Amino acid sequence: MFAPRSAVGLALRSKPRHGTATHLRTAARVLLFAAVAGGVLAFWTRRSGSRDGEGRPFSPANDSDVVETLPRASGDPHVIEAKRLRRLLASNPRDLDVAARLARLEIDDARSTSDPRHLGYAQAALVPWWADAGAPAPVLILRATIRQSRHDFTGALSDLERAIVVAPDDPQVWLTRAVVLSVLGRYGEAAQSCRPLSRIAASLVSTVCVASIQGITGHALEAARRLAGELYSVAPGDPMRAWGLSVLAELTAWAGNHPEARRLAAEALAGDPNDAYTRALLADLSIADGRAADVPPLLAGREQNDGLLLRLAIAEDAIGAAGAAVHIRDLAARFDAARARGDALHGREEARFWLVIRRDPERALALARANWQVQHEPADAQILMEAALGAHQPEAAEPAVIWARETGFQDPAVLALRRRIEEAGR
Amino acid sequence: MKRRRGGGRSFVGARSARLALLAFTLLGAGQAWAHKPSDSYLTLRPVRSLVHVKWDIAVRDLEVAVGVDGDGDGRVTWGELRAQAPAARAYAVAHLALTAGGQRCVPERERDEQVVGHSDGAYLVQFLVFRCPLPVSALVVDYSLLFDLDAQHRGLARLDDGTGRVLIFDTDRRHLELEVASDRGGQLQAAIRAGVHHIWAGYDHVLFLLALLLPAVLRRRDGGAWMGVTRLGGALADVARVVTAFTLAHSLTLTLAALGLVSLPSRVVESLIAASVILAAANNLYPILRRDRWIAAFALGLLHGFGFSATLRDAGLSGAGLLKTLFGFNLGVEIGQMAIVAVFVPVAFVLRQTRIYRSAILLGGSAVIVAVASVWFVERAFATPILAPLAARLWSR
Repeated sequence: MFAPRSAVGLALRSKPRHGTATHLRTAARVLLFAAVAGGVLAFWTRRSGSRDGEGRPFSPANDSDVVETLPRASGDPHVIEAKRLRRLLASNPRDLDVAARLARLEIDDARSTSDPRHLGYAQAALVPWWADAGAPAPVLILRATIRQSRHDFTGALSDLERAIVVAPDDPQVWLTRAVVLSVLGRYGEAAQSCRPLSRIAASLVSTVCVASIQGITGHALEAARRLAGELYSVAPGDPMRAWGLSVLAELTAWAGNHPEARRLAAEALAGDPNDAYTRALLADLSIADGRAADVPPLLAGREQNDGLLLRLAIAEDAIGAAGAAVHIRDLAARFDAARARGDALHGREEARFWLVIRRDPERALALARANWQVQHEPADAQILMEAALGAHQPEAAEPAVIWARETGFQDPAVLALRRRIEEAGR
Repeated sequence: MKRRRGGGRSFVGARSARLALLAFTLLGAGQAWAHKPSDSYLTLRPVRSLVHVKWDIAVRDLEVAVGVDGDGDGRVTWGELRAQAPAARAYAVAHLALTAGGQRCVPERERDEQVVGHSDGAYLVQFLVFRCPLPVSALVVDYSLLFDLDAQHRGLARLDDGTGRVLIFDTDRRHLELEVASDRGGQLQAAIRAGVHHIWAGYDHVLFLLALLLPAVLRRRDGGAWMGVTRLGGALADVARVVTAFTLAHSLTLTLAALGLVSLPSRVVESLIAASVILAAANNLYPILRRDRWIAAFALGLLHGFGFSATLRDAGLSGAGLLKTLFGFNLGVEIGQMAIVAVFVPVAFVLRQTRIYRSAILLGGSAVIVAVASVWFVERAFATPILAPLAARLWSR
């Protein structure tokens, strides 16, 4: 495939110009061949590469090298207590009292750490009753909580329907049921489920339950006023207050007052800095209001949380921060890892990732549509609308538009999206 | 409200312990879980009557299963992890049963444990080999790791028989039966592929090769000044000689190492490899060796062969099919190198008369290679990481 040596050599000596051209041609031919062969090789070897998010195994150089920092030291009281209960349970796995205590402890920890491993621990404690339709009341409510966390809302609901019969005085049952019904978009029934709370729970609990649903069904301002009034009477140090403020912040945002919503969210965070939901809310408001630069300091050090990492990456991408590339890569690796294990819990977040960061509205739309099949919260409707507009398929957002019309959801951002879609459809 | 120790990276999203259940269910029910749940990653590689298993289990999960934080300070050191490696292995093999032809395969440790990073933290890597009574054509896998502790744990197993099938184990799916592809060619192919991949992914080998390639389109006059070679074919043939000498030499030492006849401490080998890259590049700046570079390449190839053996172990080398794997891997290394030659040399040939090539690319490039390889040398010889922390700092700022 190379030009004969003598010819090239001769050409070089007698006609330098022609020689250069020959060289170039030869070089180009070799390069073309190399490019094709290299492409084939690259494609072929890619398969022997490592899995998503996986580095190369290595041997740390020193025994003193720290390879992992545990979320909790083994001396932590919760860890010790969980270990003790687990030992008790091992000797008698059907001890309902011990199993329920362990499951409750683990669900508590799942919440305080955002770490779903604890839900797996809780579920493991309930194994003897896990598939039992007629499980005892304590199991029903715990199982419903775990199922709901796996986005198995119908499974959770069927547990709760049984639980309201066998434990009608447990506020947790009614509240969880209201939440699940609300996620499923069944607001009338959800409001009904809040009703018994006024009798059996603290009045703030009942107010928050009702207000959360009113906020979606077009009465955000009213609900916010009532909740704000209720919060006056809650002492500043009361942990209930941070929770109420967080809900109030969201209602205020839905009512269209973002600056006030940001202030309330920041106040809620001051009371409970580990509340990831409120932190995500504040980050979202900042991004929506063109204050993306506020987000990195807000989320620094919390990258282990996928939801917060998403906001951080979006904000950094928007302001062109240096860390964006690394965070985007990490986020993609986490979505891949979730997919590898067969999870489909990240639909809303992943749709947003593809729409806003990867700028691939078609892919985002597919994810947002699949997500809408599972859950109907305002954020699910919003991402479906945004992705449909981005992909120039406004008709794909129809279920979300119908949802917004029927609930009367008043968030100005969603109203604006709705209008654009309706105009595009005309 | 209870405050937990700050700074722990998983302490996000806490709500008050007392009201947590209420708050949690009411807010963010539709939000995805913030962290990745527990998974373990297995690679099963059947070779005749053996099944090589590489198994990554999260350090966090091992803490729950067997306890790896010896001093209870929440920081798991390599020493603590190594001390508990036998317990981790006992726990692991008690929860993975491989059966072929109706008989259980007997697990044993193949080599030292290592550590690997996944998207959610550090994992202990165990290398096991299961000895089956018969050549494995159908394999029954029973997986139950962590299921008694964490009902949402999953095992993700990749079958490395040329098909690359992925199996997912969970509490409802603990038992899987599968046909193993008896694709002999697949094994060779996999070895070749591993060889190519190794060359392309290993920066030190690419740099070493570049150091040899940079002056390939030039020749020294007697006075020491560079002049361009006249024929591309000649340049390619010269380079091919150098590269092939390198491949032959390293296949020799690699075979010796793989057969267990010779073994050198990897720290020494890795340091010497870095030193050899320095020498190869420095030779372009201050020529010591003018002709017969293939002899130098052969000598350095002997050294690099020892460095390959670790990679080859990763590829799952074993007694059965050893020679074929070795051959395939060496062939892959040669193909990978030749591909780089085929891209680099023609470009260099076209540019060889330019000043840019002679000063910026040849001298500048060689100087950069010397610098990078020197850092590697220090890192490896004195076990001091330099580049990674630097890169991390650059990324974060």
